[in-house]
Amino acid sequence: MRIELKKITKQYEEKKAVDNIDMVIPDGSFTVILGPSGSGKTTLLRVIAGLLYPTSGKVFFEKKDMTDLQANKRNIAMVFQKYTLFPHMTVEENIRFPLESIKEGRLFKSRTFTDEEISKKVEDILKLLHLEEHRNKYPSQLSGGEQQRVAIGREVIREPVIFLFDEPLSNIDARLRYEMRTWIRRLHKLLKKTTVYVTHDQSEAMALGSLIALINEGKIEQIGSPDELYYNPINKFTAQFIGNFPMNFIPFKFKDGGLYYNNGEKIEVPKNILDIISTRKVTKGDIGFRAEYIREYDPKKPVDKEMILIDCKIEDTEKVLDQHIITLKHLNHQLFFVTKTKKEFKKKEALSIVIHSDHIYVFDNKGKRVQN
Amino acid sequence: MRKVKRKTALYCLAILFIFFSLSFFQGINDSLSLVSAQSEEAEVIEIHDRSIILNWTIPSIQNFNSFRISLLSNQSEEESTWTMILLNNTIEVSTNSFSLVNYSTSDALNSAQKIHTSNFTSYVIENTAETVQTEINGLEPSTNYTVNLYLSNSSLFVDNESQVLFLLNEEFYWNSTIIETKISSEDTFEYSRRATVLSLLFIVVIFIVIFYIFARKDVPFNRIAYLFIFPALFALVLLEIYPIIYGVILSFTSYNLTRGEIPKFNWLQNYANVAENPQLPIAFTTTLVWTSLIIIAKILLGFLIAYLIHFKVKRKKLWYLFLYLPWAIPSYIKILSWRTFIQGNAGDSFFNMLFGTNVNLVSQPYIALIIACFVEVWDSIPLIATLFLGGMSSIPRELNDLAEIDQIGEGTRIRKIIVPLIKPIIIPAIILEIIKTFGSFNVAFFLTKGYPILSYGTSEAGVIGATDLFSTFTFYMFYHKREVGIAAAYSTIMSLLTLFFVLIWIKMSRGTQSTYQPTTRKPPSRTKKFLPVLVGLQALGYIIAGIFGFRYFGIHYNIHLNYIIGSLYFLISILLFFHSEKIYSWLKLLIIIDLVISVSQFFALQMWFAFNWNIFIVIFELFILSGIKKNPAGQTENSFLRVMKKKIQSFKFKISDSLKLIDRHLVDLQSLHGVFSLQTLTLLLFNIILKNKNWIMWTVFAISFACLVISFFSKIILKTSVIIQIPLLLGLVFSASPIGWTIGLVIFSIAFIINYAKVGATQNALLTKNTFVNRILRLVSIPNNSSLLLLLIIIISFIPIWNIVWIAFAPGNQIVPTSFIPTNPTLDNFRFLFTQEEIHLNFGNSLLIALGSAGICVLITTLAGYSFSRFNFTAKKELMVGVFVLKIFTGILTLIPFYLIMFNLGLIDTYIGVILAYSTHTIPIALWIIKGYIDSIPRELDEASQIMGNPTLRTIRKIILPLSGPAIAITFLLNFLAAWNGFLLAFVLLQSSSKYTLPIKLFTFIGSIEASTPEWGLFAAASILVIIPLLIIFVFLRNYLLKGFDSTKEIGEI
Repeated sequence: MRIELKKITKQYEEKKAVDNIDMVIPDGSFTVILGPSGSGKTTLLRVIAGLLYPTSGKVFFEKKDMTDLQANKRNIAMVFQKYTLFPHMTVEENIRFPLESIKEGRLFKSRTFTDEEISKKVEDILKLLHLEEHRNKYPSQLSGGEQQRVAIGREVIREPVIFLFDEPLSNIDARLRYEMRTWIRRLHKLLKKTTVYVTHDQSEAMALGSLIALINEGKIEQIGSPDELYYNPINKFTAQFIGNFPMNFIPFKFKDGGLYYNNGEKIEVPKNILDIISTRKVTKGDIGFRAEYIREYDPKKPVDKEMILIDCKIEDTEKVLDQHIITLKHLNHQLFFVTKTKKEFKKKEALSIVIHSDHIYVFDNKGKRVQN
Repeated sequence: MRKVKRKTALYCLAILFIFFSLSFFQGINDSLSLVSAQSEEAEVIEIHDRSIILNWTIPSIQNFNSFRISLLSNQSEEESTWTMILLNNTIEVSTNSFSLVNYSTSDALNSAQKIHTSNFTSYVIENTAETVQTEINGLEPSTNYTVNLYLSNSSLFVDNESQVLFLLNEEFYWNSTIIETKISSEDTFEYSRRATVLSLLFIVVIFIVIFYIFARKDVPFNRIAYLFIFPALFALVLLEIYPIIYGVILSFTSYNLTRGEIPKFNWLQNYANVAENPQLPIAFTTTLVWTSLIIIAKILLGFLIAYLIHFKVKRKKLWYLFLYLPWAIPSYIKILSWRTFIQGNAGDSFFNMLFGTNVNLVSQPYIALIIACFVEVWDSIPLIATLFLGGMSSIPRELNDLAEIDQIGEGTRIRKIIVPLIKPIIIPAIILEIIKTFGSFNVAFFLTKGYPILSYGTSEAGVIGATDLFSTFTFYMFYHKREVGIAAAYSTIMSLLTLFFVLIWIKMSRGTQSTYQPTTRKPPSRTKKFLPVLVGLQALGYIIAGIFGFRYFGIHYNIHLNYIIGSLYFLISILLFFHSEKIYSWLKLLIIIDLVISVSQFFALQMWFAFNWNIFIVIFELFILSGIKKNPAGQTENSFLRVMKKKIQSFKFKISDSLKLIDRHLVDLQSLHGVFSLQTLTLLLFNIILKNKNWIMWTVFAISFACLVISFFSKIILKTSVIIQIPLLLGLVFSASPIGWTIGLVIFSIAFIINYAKVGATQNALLTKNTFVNRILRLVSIPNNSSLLLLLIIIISFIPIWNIVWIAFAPGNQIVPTSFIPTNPTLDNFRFLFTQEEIHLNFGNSLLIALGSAGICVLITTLAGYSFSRFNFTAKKELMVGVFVLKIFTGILTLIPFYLIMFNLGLIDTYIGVILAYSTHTIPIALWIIKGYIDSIPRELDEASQIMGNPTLRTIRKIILPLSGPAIAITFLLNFLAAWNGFLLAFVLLQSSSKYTLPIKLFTFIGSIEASTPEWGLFAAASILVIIPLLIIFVFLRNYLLKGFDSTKEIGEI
């Protein structure tokens, strides 16, 4: 089912948690809402779920206005971050409960499913999630991963039209998290239902999502596939947020057809980049590049025309297994540089780096990407 | 700004003008409606609904022998003769028989003889009669009548055994103005019933409309929340807010339950009535003295107990349990058992027997007041100790350990660490406690019922006693005098006073935050600008009091004192305008002097109306003064004060130096000396109170005192003072002292010896090095003074209970125990309870009412608690605070209107009325407990259930109810106990003895203090029956029950 959000705003006293968001979640997609903590992503999800009423704006499922409908009438499923199971019910009762809740009739309601039907379905789900041996346990006797599995099973059994996940894996330890990720991906392939998944963990987002909406301070920064967000960030925030290391930035000034550092030194840049800047008339901005695409300058090879050469100083080095994470200092700002060479780096040594122009992103002083 | 002010002033003036003119018109109307006799000879005395009472003097003209009374009504045009009154000289004089016509001769009041004639109803009176009074009856209600009185000559003929009266001639003597008979009492009832129903409907409709508007305005998701809080709010509006409004309106009417008349709106007449009678200042003074004495005692004792339990003794939980056990006993039983213990049968009590004293609560004002205070303190000490314990347990352990490591002395630790840290938590609770004490009813009602009566408190309006508080006096005006309007005026005045404290409380609990949170800086308050005005008001009050002898203001020692203090206030108020900073300390000094003089009047002049109403201005001033930040030290103070301070400080140093000198002799001996001094003091008191003329006791006292003095300087004397314990006890035995003093001194002796042993155990030098002796010493010195003190407190609270148990099993109706266990114990009292008194019926009544009220309370508070916890609707915080504030106004303040509403709705003497009355009693506390508990249940659970498609009610039933079981159980229990132990409302609302609840039944056994034949045995046995189930519940559920106490603290966090 396609979800459409129109100008959703949710305001808490002074602060706008969600600020005028327009968004379309396609049918059957696995959409991840990604953002730092406090960015309003959970608020957005709860508005979709019908647990929060937006200050303004509308929520549509397909073409039906759902804004005024409460959560219990939207036929959705939601898995929460924690406290997902009812502590006074066993695993089996927990899974049965949603089916027992489905009722028909306007005035005199009766259960849709008979007890036998429910038992059969519960059996199937228990088998699917490998929870047979836990059926008579109480939630407090289960591990975190098992609890979330039961919670997911409880939602799957109802065959809802939309799945919502609110950071379901953040309270589970790291090893299990990977396993659970696989579970969720497989489930989505099986059910093919529209899924909205909220997380602050970008690796989770990259691994699961077919579509990622990056949110910051209540506003959508960029929507796109994981690759788009990584390779083609449209603003500085996305560039900084996505990736194992935040993108490196070097501020520049543009005058008289040349590019200069802040201290007035000229930067030798490839012509295509210079063209972009001059056509867009950017006078001030940043050059960005990812730590993974930095190469160490080899004095034996001449500098390519497509490369930028930057002279830096090593400020700090860190060795994680086979990887060197080197903090460089250029003028006043820090740059990160990741390499797998076996060479030893020493502090306060000078180091020159080169970046290919394909991996260079230019942003104007408002943080927007400048491109053709 | 200035324009606005001028406008408001104009409005005020306009309103005042309208008000005065209205009351003026009212006055004119009143004078019109008054019936005045045309001639002086005859007078209409009373007008009722179906009768008029007429009074006239017999004229001295001799040419007539009878009166004819005729009536002219507006319904029939003809004049009809009501009766003939014949003058005769030979009739039998009867004084007692009932007659409509009465006459008075020069020496006696007689009733006329009725004779039967065929044409007129006739009465015969004596020739010598001077005045005649007739009650003209058989009239129609609310019709106009004119009464005509004729002098006539008539003769009586006897014809065929029937008598006929012939009128010969007659002469018009007197006629009345048009008299309108009153509306009939059935109509009155109908009228007020209709008024109540209409106003109730009005309030309900208004409430629902407002509620609906709010609900419509809010977001759609919150509408269900409004549905859920509706029952609770509706109940509060109907049963709390409406009575409050009704009560205020009643205070402006002439409502009276004995006179059958339509209550009239008489503006401020009730207040004028209250103001011109002496009872108001007396009640105010008593309440004020009562409140301040009790609060001071509660704070000191509560702090002491909490400190001892928290810091000083081992096995805290056990002490805690024993401290709380008395709490499980309903307070009416506790208070009545104290009365049994202290007062007994008019002074013939266990207490007087124990201590040989002559205490009688009916005749000794000061003693009665002080004992009432004592009982109140003892009644509520567990609660206040809990508050302090809560505060103390919030102090981080580290701070306490740090103080210990840094070797900070105990006094310093209390002053500099404990008190400042618990202050923000305690102060709002203390103010709540003040409000509670201010409105307390139980002790003054059950223990003394206002007695002893004060001679200057008696007037036409009523009688007031030395222990009559605002609440009990209001109750007296309402229940005994049936003056609803005046009682309502009293209760309105009382609510205004309460409101004053409530406002302070709200301000304080908003202002205080936990010490551990960073506080936001407040802007400097501008309230100090009010200060000169307030002080000026005080000056004005005092000077007016000096000139006119105004009762509510001023000092009664001497008129000149009024002028002096008034002018001082005036001076300060002027000085405050100019250089305010320097004068604050002087103002404080003056206030303190003023207060001391005011208070001293109460004790020195025995004046129960000695208090000034300026106490409220003083509280305001102190409030403002405490808000003003002190300037850097010494800068602004004037030189005189600085010099004084320096002198005081140097004096302090001198004293502490000399104390240090003594201290060197006293290492580890403080407690020893303390106990010894207490012992000597008790001896002295014993001798003074009993007016002991026995030389033995005075000698023993002299020896002890001498030993005490010398022992400060010599350890040998201290050692020998152990030996002195022997002659001391011997002396007590030989002087045949009452047993209470002997026990007291024995306890002190034991404490002394224990302390001595402790010193011996630690400082071996004091005694021999014999290991056996040392071992015994160590064994003896195990109990420490703290636990002894706690033990003493617990024992004192158990004495009256033991007294009750003794009475219950003793045969007959004796109340003074003669042995520890009654000789020939019987179960007669218990048997009587079930056979004669049928107390099981009362158990049933209580159970029904308590279950019903608790059921309603839990049902509506669970729903409301859920929506208060989960939804974020408009004015949520304000509603919570409002609900809590409402609780403060319930009780005696809503009693009168509540009674009338129930009366008008025909719910008097029904179970439903009482159930409704008690169901809202614990709603605020229940709401806090349930809300707090649901807050602790993760939101995700009911959101998950909601997402599964469950409606909210099913979510509550399936998820919230099973998970919040303990909270619901506790709220159920709290309301159950409130209804089970509740006295006042049930006492007023239930009238037939078959419907009495247990408290009323128990009260009827012994009645109030002046009752002549108390059934002590039955009362004691019934008390035991009531207490035992409560004790069982308490012991099992104490942890849950005590949570109810804590909820008062949370209000500070909103």
